[in-house]
Amino acid sequence: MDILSSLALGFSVSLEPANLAYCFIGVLLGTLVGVLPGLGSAATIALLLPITYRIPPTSALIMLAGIWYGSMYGGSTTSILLRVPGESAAVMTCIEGFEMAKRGRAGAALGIAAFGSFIAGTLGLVGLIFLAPPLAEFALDFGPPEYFALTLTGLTLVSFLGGISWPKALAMAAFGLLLGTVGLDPVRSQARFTFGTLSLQGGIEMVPMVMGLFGLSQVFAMVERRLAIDEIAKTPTRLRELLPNRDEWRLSIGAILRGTLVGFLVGILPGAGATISSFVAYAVEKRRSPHPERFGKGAIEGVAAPESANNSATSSGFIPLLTLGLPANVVMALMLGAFMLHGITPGPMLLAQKPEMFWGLITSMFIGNLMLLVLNLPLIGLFVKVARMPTSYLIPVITLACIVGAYGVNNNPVDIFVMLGFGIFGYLADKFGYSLAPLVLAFVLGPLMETSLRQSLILSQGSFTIFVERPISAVLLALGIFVAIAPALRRVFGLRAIAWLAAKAKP
Amino acid sequence: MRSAPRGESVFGAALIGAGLFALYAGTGLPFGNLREPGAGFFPVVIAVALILFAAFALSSRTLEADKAQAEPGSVARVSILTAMIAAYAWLLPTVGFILCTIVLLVVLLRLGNVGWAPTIISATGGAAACYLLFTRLGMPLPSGLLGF
Repeated sequence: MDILSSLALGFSVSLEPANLAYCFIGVLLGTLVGVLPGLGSAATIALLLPITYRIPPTSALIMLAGIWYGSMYGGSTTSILLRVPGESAAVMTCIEGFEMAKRGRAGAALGIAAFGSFIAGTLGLVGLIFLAPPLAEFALDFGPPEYFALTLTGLTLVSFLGGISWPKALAMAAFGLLLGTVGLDPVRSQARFTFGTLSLQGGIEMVPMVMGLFGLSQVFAMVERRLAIDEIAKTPTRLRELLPNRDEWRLSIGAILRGTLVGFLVGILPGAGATISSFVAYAVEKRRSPHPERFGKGAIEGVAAPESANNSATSSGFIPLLTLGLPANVVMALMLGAFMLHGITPGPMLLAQKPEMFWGLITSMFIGNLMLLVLNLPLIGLFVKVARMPTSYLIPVITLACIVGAYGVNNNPVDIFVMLGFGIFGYLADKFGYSLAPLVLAFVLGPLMETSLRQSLILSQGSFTIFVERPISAVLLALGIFVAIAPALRRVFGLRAIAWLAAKAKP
Repeated sequence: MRSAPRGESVFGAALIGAGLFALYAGTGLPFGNLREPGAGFFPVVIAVALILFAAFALSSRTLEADKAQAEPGSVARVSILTAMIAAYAWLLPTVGFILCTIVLLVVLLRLGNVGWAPTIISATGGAAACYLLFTRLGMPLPSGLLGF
């Protein structure tokens, strides 16, 4: 099937009224949570996972995806007007965006963030469309050794690129793998770590787990410290104020395109994702600017580049999931969970077996980006009000949503305890610098990793050389080892410093 | 070397504990051999990895002491929230969704220093709205003592 007829098929799915509605709900919710500091897209997707049981899988995925890229748009609004990043990926936008707002150019900053996000999100999708099908075809030949190498390298990348401390990240990955082994052994169906109870035979339920890890843990964090918003820039009221002038466009267009490219490349890497891409894009702009002294004083490129990067990273982040079944970040792991709730395994077979789902999801993102552009600018006043919603109301709302969501999976109060346990765990992990991303990714990838390892060893009659004799798995493992043992490389890219900054500045 | 924040070390130690426990429980499963790994193979290998990584993380603490410093009163607030949710889960089947939810919302809103009048209105209104919404969506919620 060529690209045009695939796109036609996709749009025929994504333009169905119901799917348009789910797309709209997704991007609207995404923008709202993007605006709200303290409630991230991962938490929101976790909160909405139970609902996706009840709606068709394609619609569910369209909505969940909308939340993710929608939150990237929303995050910039509060960064610029309140200097409070609604999302960690919008931290860099605070620096230049708020300075611009103080000089009375808040409208231009908001405008360029929205236009940049739209351009980058759309170009990222074009990249996704051209890259995903050949990659999926390539991955069709993958056997157990390749999948083991892929999952191992994926987890290694997540642990080394995404966290502050790699021993902590690896420990969390190992813990996630162990949590994934609870239940029936995937090869022999022998019960493991079930302690004789029937309810653990199906494994740890993902929905209560992620609701606790990302939803309730945020409530605990909010209860612990209160967010204070002190300074608010003047909110632009008229649409015309939102349009950047000619000079600002001239400065931004290159930054948007460079940000798009940076975001696309970084977004594919497991563990890097939107936040890191925005840091890299900002650094690139500052380094290549003929007037680096303007940075920190309201340089519009410093808004355009990171906002573009985080949006194109959300587009390219879908590539590993849709073609290899490998989630590149927490949100993609939750998307994988949503697929699996419906009995679908994303990966190379998805494109062949469910083209309407694959292309429907991708084309819905074009529509969603357009909706966001139209939606975002006129509603800025509303978003500012939402951002200032007092935590005294936010806390009960999120708490109740977590409880009801966890309970609703099986109508079983035990799941509330599971959610509570993971909530406390997630809160403490976050507090003590243990990142949750490797844990969740390992949890969802664990069964695939174990099955492929055991099948590989059976194939090779117990010899580990099978992983290096097969070229693809050898290359993948070499990549993992390279990332792990080359701190010099990491220093060149400054990724660790960036990740550290990201964690520091996390709202 | 600066002194390590205590909570961070306790967390790392707890992960080591989890690894040791998994190792102990995993050795009870058939390990198999490399030609045909059994159910215990993967858990045991991963448990060992967890113990090693967590021990390494414990020995190379990265946080500054002030980050792990709890704000005054925060431990109490976190504990109250935990107890509330546990009680909610415990009482939900017998007491029912609406009463449990009202009590939970009242306590949480009052903790957030919301006045009594808006607290009562939001809590009862919120609980009733949730009940109607979710039961309409086809999610059975226990009605409990209210009996409808």
